[in-house]
Amino acid sequence: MTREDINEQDLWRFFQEGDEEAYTLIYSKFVKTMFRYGMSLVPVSEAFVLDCIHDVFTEIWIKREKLTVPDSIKHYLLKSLKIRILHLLKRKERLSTPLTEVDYEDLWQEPSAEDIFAEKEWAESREIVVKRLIDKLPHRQQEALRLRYIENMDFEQVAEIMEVNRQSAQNLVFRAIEKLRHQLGFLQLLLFYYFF
Amino acid sequence: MKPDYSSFKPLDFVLDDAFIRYALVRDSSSEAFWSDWLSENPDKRADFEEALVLIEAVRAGLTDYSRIHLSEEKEQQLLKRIRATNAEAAEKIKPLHPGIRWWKIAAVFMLISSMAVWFLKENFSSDSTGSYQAQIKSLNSPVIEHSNTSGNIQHFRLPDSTMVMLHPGSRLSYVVNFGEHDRKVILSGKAGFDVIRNPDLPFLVLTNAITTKVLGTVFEVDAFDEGQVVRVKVKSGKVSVFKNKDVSEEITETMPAKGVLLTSNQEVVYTRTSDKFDKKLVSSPEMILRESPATFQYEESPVAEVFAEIENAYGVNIIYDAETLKDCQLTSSLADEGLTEKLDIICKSIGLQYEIIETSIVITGKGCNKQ
Repeated sequence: MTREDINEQDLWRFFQEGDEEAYTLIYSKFVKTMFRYGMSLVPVSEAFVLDCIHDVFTEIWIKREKLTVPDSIKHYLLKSLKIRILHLLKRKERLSTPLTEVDYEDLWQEPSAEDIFAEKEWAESREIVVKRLIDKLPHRQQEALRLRYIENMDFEQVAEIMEVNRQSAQNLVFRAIEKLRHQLGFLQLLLFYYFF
Repeated sequence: MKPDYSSFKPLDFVLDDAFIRYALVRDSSSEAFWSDWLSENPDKRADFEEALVLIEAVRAGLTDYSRIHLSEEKEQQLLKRIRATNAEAAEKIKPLHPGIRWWKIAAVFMLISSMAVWFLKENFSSDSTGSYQAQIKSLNSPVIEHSNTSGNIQHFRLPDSTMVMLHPGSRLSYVVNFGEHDRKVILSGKAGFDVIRNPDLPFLVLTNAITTKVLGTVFEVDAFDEGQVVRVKVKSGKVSVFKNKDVSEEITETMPAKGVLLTSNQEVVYTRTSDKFDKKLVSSPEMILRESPATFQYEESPVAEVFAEIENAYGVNIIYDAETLKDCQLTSSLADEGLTEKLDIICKSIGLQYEIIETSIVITGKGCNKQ
């Protein structure tokens, strides 16, 4: 059995015992995901996100013996990264509005029918249509979509990362998809289906 | 317990963890489950497929996110850094926790100015070629660096509110506790400074050959590492410039004797090869006070009066023989001209010559006949 094949929990235990190889394996398995998730939270500074990842990994190394074994290492690391990023940015008073737990629902302008039509006309492909629509969603809804449909976190895990209950996490995703479905239209979706 | 899928609508499927897992990563057991379920519920096929299409659409719309890429190189660099920090922690060499104080500052910069801020912590230990890196290393402290890789001048403020205008290709670093004991910045390249006055905390610009010390002024330092000369220009206020080798430990306490003192509209050029300072007027001196009371309107005015007004307005020294020029008068309007243009016009209309020698303007001529 090679290291790549062992299950996550065993890999974690090796790391907790101070096995540097296991630690490095965990790093290389998840650093890319952490990076993209971090960049989606703080798109302006790659250096800052890298520093936060550095902090997460050095901290778990120092505390390794005291850590519990997570159900999902990826979930654990994404959550730690978000906590680290928010922790550092929270000290910045109100500068970090895009990252506070403010719900953007109120700030968000519903695009008009003409806007949507114009978007559809303009877009070169349906991928771009959906992208544009998603870009207009409130930040928290976008984050929930990324965690659920790209990172494949279950709703319990999404809820934990976003510091809401499971129902609220589902609601965020529900509102986003309901809106997209409405804006794209069922016909569009069927075309989309054949397009892919 | 499995939910009752037979009552599911498309939006129920897209919110079901088991269904999403099937949509994202199909394994044999979920494949089997759903194909069985579909054969039992053929009327639900349309809803089931719409849900799959919805998820596919959302994923397609998120490709910008899923394509965010961390390069192999950066991944390896970061791992190296993490290991270095762990090693230090293990040996307890470093008492302070890595990354507590400077993140704070970093975030401010990132958010306020969205300017690239690098942490040179890593660069310290590795190669420190060039005197810029060497000087940073000698500070023995984490630094914050602004590096201007753009084609335009970048404006930003230091923690003490001093304004910096960093020119393209230039780098400026300062320690994280800037302003605690002194205000020291390290520069490679060219930058202008509008220093907030604080007599208790002298402001120092360290460059590869010289150090510029200032108490509050507007000035510019031009010191690219590879350049042969270092230039310091003063717009207003007073600064002293001295060679790094003459800088003692008590740099903040006393003004080194070997320094060159510069005042408004003066510049000094230090040439590395000759190790000499060359002090002179800047090429296009500006008036010290924008709201200068001088009008430069002359109606048969004695030149002594004209020169006095120019001396005051530009903070320059004009040397002439008052006796020879006592009968010279000027009638002219010079409000819109720069200093050298003013001098040109004055000298031509009276038949004089001028020369700029070091920081002084020397006027020579035969004098005028009594009118």
